[in-house]
Amino acid sequence: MSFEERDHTADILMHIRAADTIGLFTDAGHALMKTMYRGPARPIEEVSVTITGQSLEHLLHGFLSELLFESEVQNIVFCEFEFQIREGEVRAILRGEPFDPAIHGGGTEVKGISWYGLSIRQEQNEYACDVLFDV
Amino acid sequence: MIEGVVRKGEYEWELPVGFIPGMHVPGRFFLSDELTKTLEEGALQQLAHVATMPGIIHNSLAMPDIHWGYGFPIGGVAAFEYETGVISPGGVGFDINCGVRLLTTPLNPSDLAQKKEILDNLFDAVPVGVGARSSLRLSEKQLEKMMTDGARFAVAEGYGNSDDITHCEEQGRMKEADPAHVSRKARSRGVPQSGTLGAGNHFLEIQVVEEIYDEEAARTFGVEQGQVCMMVHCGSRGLGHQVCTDHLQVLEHAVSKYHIQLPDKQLACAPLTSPEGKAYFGGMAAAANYAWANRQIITHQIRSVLTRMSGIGYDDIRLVYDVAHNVAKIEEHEIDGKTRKVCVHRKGATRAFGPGCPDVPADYTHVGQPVIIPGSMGSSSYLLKGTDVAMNRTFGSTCHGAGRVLSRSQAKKKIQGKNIRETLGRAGIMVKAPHDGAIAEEAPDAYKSSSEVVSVVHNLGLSRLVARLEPLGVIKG
Repeated sequence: MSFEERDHTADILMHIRAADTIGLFTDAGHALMKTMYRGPARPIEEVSVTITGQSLEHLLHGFLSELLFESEVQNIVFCEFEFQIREGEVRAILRGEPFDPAIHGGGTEVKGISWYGLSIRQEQNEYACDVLFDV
Repeated sequence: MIEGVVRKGEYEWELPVGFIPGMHVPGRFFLSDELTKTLEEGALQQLAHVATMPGIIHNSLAMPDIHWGYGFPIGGVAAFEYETGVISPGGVGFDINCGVRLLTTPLNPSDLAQKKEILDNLFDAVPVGVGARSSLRLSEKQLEKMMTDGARFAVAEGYGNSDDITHCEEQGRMKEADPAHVSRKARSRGVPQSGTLGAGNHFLEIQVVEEIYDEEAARTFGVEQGQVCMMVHCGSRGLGHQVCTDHLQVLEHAVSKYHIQLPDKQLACAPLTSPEGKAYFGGMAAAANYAWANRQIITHQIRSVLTRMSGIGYDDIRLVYDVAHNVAKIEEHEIDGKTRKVCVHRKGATRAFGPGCPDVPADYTHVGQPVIIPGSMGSSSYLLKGTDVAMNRTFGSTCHGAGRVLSRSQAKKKIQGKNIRETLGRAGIMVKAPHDGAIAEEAPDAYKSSSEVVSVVHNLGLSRLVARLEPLGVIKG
């Protein structure tokens, strides 16, 4: 996993780097889950989501917003992601296990995924972006 | 001070038009010399961004708790012409109607021999932290009523009394709420979270009134020195968060449809009179009502615990007031000698209406609206009153809290939750939280001094000090 938290006074700013877009989406998903939850999770439940959007940034923002929604409503800590990314659409399978406060408690509630400063950059042989989680 | 900023007075600073391209009005913010040390360039950029939005009136404003957020800076206030201006979720935030309420009790600290047990019972009664679920089982119809009627819904369901409604900003209900603009997704986040506190900086605190600065106002608000009080800080939970997420998508398209130029996508907006702007406003107001009902249900849970454990009556626990600090409202203000209808955005800022304003409860109208400023964990909170100065200078607005200086990751690196718990314990302040990380993130050192922030608004007259409250016990979300 390649993401790191950078300083932001009010919220959680994550810097994510990956060799390709699938890696970038995967690491962004893990960054969100690691913010919200602690401890390991097993891939025993599965949810499928489809996101459409006009740019890669829209797809990433849409995916993270959907991941947050599914995690909160289904009460699942997701730990594995499988993607099909094509122009204008992402199909994702999310796998995880039901939230157990004794195992997964200790994280921070994320309210939403901000658009502030969200842009995906191609730097040498990798993709990079900063995403701000409102907490 | 950051280059380009102009000092305008002892506590006043200006970002002139031209600080960034496209500004329609100057930015203006209020800071003491001490607080300028913590000012971030990112926050000033955001203040300047707001000044580029269509229909903004006079200034893009920021209160002394200004800090770097997204969209508007936290502490940001801006009013927009109703006919030509815009409304933006970036000026409200994801946590619509995050706010604070203050309750008084007839107890004094010597009545709290069972403080630990009371705190334990409150912790059990009010679901807190990530993943916490409500014990209430709201039907679709009840959720709809919660969104249209706000605190009145909760009182009608048996979670309070009629005085609670009178002593709430907007009487606990924005009449413009339109649940038709709250999606299925938002509703599914809202149902299991009614009556929950949430996490992050949300809290429930047992406090004592330590000092009175304004005897007449304190008496009017029913506050006495040595009195035990309860303070609640939370918002519209997942329902409000999803309303913001959903409408940002729609408003992004509205930006190009109405040819609006913006420097930050998070400021996506639409004309107030457009279908998109009206839809967001209706959905936002429904979420604001959910938040008022949520704080009312938590109030009932607090009253249930205190009446059971300390033998006082349910109605002896009195709501002083409830303020929203993340919201957009249609208000009338005197601008350039005329009464004008405007949309005031307050993001991390509190309404502070002065004496005689029709929106101030009748029993408080001669002193002004109560303003509740929570401190960071373990530090002082304050009760203030609204003023005419705020009406004339800041569209009836003041600060909302202490304002962060350390990021959450810096706080966790620098401060151990266990140490904070022990330090506060030695000062007689008990802390309960789902985990130590929550305590470290919200440690007093991660925030500006609440005393310094309120002294700026007091000295400027944007609100005036009434009382200081100190914590005795804290439940962190």
